[in-house]
Amino acid sequence: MLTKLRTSIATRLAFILILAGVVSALSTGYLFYSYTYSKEFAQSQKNIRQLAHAVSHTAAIAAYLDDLTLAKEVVEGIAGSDLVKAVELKSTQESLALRGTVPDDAETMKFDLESPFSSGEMVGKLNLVPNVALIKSDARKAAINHVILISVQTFVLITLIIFLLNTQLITEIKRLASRLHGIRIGSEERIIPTQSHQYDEIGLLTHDINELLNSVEENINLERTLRLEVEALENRFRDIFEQSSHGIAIVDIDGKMRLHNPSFKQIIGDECFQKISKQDSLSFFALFDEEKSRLESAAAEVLSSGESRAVDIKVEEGSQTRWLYCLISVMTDDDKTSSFEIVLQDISERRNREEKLKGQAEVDALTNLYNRGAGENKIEQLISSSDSKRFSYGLFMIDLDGFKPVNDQFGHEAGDRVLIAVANRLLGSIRAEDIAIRWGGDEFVVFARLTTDLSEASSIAEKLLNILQQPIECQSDMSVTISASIGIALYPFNADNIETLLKYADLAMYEVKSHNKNSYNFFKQPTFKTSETQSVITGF
Amino acid sequence: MKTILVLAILCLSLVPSLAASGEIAVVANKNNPLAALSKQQIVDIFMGRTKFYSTGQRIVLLDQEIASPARRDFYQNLVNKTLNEINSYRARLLFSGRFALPKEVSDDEMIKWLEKDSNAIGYIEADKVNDSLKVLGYVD
Repeated sequence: MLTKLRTSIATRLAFILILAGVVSALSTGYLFYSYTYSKEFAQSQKNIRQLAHAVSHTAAIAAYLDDLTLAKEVVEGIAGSDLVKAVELKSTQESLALRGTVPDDAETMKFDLESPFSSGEMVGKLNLVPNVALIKSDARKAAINHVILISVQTFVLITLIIFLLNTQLITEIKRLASRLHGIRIGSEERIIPTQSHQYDEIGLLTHDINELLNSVEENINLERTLRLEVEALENRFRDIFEQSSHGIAIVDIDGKMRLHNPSFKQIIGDECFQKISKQDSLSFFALFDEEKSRLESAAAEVLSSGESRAVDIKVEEGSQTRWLYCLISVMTDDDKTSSFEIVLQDISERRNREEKLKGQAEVDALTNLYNRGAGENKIEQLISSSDSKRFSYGLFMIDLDGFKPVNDQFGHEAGDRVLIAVANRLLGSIRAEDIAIRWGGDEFVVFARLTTDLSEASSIAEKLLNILQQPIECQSDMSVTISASIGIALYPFNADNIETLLKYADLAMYEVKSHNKNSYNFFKQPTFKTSETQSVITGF
Repeated sequence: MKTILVLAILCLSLVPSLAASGEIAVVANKNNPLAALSKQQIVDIFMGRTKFYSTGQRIVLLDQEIASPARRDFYQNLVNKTLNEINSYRARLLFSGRFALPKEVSDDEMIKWLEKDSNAIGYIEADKVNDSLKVLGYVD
């Protein structure tokens, strides 16, 4: 019952209504009882008074005349009423008629009888004893009847209210509740509205619930579709990620690896992968010792500019050299934390091929020295590299003397032999980091670092002249002797760019050529006077 | 002379009106035991309360004829009631059997009766009283 009170509105409502009915019936019953009782009691008293009044005239006459017959008549008449227990009619002197016993107490109702002829003269008394017990019991009966009537009325009313509530409201709400309870959210089921409640609040509620169910179903379907789309997309992206031949990894700002695909592991190799995949591992950017600074500065640049940067990194694995193309991009996710995306590609094969092709292009096929273009590049690289600022270099423009007669006399083959011998002698006489170039025909250039002072250039020139004077076997059992004219320009003393240096060295070399040959000459800075300039260039 | 004449005319014209206002005398035989009566005593006698003389003799009441103005005026002045009311009162008493209705008589008959019966009491307009009767009181 208690559970039922908690779970069922109908039971609770009925309980409350019955309780209210009982309380109201009891309280109104009590009020009505006391009201009816006192009213009935007063009414009886009034009736007695009226009775007395009705006979008072005759009683007065009887008392006036001391007429016993008339008095008796009056008393008998009054005694006929149930309301009166005892009656006495008295004149001023004596009792004229008596019925029952009339005690002289408060309950007895006394009426003075006035003379019918002279007002103010009292001729007797009419004493009545009301039948209090009867009056009270009558009043009680009337009151009880009243209360019973009210109780019955209340009962009928409450029964009617409960019945109406049940049929009009509770049943409908129950039906609605159980129907809604049975509906699977997101399904196509709906509550069918009751015809009789179509236009009232229940109908409105039903309609609104159905609307709600519609929108929920719509949302669920939409979400399902979206989820499927996202899943498909996710799968595609995962496939791309997993199956890509490029190594892809996500690393955080500190370079800690967070995500990678199989290709990434394969490209950097197991050993390297172990280093960065562990907890408290190495930063990706510090993985390759030689490339650490380049990678780190590239990452910093990417972070500050937001643009991607590509770095080719060189990985030495024992004797093998591998080249990795590394593209670094920055990405910012939803909660504003940045991370790097690293795309790796093994470009060793291409790079090695390129290197090889480049080597072929740079070298003069006959002498194996750098050709003119490559040589120029090498020199440029050397003087533009940062540590070159601290060093001085000498550029030696070498032109062979007496090569053309050898070519004419013994043929091109012999000429070629001479050129190869010259190249070998040049290579043999310079340091590894110095550069020897076949400039064209019988012209060579040597670019050598001056480790002590500028005068070192003179000794280098003399050394070169010396080795080139040695006889050269151009055919079997046939040696020739040639010499060279050398023009020298000093970096950065004469000029700090290669074009000017070449021009100056050329000028100095022609100076030697036009005079004594088999000698060397330093370029002299021309003075501002035309005549002197002329003399400087021409005179040594 | 003129003044006396005017007064005489005035007096003459007043006499009938005085008579009409009906001063009525309660009268009895010269030998009646009662002397002068108060108004209350007259009421008690005529309304049936006092039925006997102190001697034990029954009081015999005489009424004027029903249509006479004297009867009307007498009860009107005595107890302030109409004849109908008096009749209804007396009718009630008749049933108890202890009251006898007064004899109805004319003025002349009343005088003759009273002259003969010493126990009778009646009433008559005051100006008709003669010496053969004793006046017990006046009702006006």
